[in-house]
Amino acid sequence: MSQKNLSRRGFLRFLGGLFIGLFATRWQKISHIFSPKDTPPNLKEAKYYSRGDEIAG
Amino acid sequence: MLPIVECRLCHHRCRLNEGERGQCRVRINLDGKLYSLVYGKPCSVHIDPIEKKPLYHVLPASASFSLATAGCNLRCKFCQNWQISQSPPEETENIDLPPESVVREALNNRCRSIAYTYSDPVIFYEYMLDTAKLAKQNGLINIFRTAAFIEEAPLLELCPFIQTASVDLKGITEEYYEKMCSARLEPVLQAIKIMHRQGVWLELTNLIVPTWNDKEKDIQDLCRWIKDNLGPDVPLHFSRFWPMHQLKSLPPTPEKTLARAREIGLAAGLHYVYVGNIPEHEGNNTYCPKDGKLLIHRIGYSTLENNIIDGKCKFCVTNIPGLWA
Repeated sequence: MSQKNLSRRGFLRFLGGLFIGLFATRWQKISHIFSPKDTPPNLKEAKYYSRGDEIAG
Repeated sequence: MLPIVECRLCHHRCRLNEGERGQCRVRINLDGKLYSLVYGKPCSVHIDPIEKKPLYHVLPASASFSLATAGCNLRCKFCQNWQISQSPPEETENIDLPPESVVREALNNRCRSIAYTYSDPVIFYEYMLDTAKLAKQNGLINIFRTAAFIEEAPLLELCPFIQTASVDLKGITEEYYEKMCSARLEPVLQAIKIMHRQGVWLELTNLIVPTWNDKEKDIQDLCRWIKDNLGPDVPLHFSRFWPMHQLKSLPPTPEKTLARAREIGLAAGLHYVYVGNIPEHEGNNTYCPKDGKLLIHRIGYSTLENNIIDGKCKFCVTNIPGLWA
């Protein structure tokens, strides 16, 4: 196999690994909530809440 | 350190660290933002007769597309839907049903309304709001079936899209709400008054639980509050308790207790007082408050006779409040 093909393959593997790694990181946060058989949650940001220093008291 | 969040949907005002959920079990702090876990993911979907909500003054004999997600912001000991209301969404069987699909299915099944019900739709607020907007655009009535434990701001945003609400006024004392439901009475009363002022058609339900809220004084106080704050035309449904969830040791509400509650309500000046779960009782029917004529004859959820024409008594032409068409 040519050096060029090996480089391309290596680059594609790197991209694939990067993608899986990012996805797995996100999935890891919520996969423990649902078993594999269930439909995954459809996260929707809530409309009414306050964050951090917006909270009084 | 990721920030905490404070939910502002209901008066629990849950403060959540990263990964924590609110008391409702369906809102979670992830990366310093609050998310709903149940948007578009109902676990109960049915087509019900509208009288089951119970709503007796709204589109009689019509079908209502009814749905709920897991979770609830109350902990009622008598809850008949506890399998879904007291469960997180990972313990219920959920389906994919985004707002546009809800509306499409309701229309395809010839329903005239969509009811957000069974658990408490406050906790799937965003899903309900988006669906209600689409439903209204498509000529459907939205029914908010709730315990009304909700903050003012989200309620005011919701009101323009819900034409009617079936509200549980579970008791008339703070002690009852605290011990029976792990909630508070005053925010519920405020929410009811807000909806009334905003023009939402209201029908109230009070579940009478033996030994807890069945004293005549409690029922009189409840009826008096309704008359003084909402007027005599808001229908009140007295509902029968069945041993359930954490109160399996109690007996069902005696029929005579329900019948007596209705007498108290009518004596307090309320025009429309109903009893549920007593077959063939006159409390299932609607009567004209002026001439006493039978307007709607019901057996169970079925309408046998309807003498309301264009929102008026057929006999004396008195206005009968409700959403009749």
